[in-house]
Amino acid sequence: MAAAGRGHGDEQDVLRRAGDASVLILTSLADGPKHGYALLLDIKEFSGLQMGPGTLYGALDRLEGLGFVEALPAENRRHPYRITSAGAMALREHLDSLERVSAVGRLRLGLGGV
Amino acid sequence: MARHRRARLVHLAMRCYSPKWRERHADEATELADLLMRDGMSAVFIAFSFLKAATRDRLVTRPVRRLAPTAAVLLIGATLVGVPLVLLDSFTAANAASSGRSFVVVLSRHNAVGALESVFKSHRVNIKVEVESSSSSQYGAVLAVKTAAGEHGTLKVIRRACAGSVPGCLVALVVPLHFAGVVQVVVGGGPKRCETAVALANGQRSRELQPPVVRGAFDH
Repeated sequence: MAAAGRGHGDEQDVLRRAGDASVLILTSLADGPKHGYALLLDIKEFSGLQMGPGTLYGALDRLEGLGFVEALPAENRRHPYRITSAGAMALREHLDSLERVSAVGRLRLGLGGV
Repeated sequence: MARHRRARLVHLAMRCYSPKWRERHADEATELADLLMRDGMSAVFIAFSFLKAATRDRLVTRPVRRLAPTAAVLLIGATLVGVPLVLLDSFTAANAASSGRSFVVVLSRHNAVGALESVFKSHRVNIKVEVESSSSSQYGAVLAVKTAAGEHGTLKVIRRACAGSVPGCLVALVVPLHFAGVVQVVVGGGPKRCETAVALANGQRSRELQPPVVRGAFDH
């Protein structure tokens, strides 16, 4: 596990407070820029969750405010969004945090480590 | 639901957003909503998603968040043609976007009374409804909040312009969680009879002339 040696240092895990939608969006953008519709389709495919369009734009605005995503020039009426280096770092921190929780949970359930 | 009605529902929900948001996202969001509906997503789900996010957008970015950190917030967007109504529990600036909240949305002027009754009942508040008429510029807006003598200090109201920049509408009402008084909320409806006659003479559409004022009295 990448950050197993760290304590509870989740002050750096900004996404913990940003909400699940933000994590899903950053995860989707991690493999390349996407516009809103493509984001929703991709998120549904890899997570099984149907995110509402209002939730999508709300999270995109928050992520943009945090400097984690940036809007690219519009293609027709669609704005593709791209993850920034700060966003990628925040996502990595958050995934590390989830991994620690997952490992503890599996261990306590007797499922072994990850 | 017919296609144009679905589109109108979504369009109405998007009108709850701030002008800044609409300028930035409305075109794209409209196209996205069309694509999602084409894929079979419910228009109600889409509209509700926009309404929730619009409420959050307005509450987080506007001065409302400075009011009464532990209060129930009754936010009535006066900008819609219909009467959107949102009731938030335990509202604070920090948790405006968090879970402890419930929404009631009135998208049609014709069920405003029922929706008001529903939301107040769900929060164990009794409401009595009367119907009147009002100026067309005040249609869909909250015009007044009345309380019994000595109770007014427990409430906070936020005013903004009505349609056509006519002053005097309320955009939000903050009610403390343990408010024990009686409150009367007046929501603007259709034009007065004299205006109706003038408007008819001027050939205005009949749908602009009908709706009632909802006068709701509620107490905890």
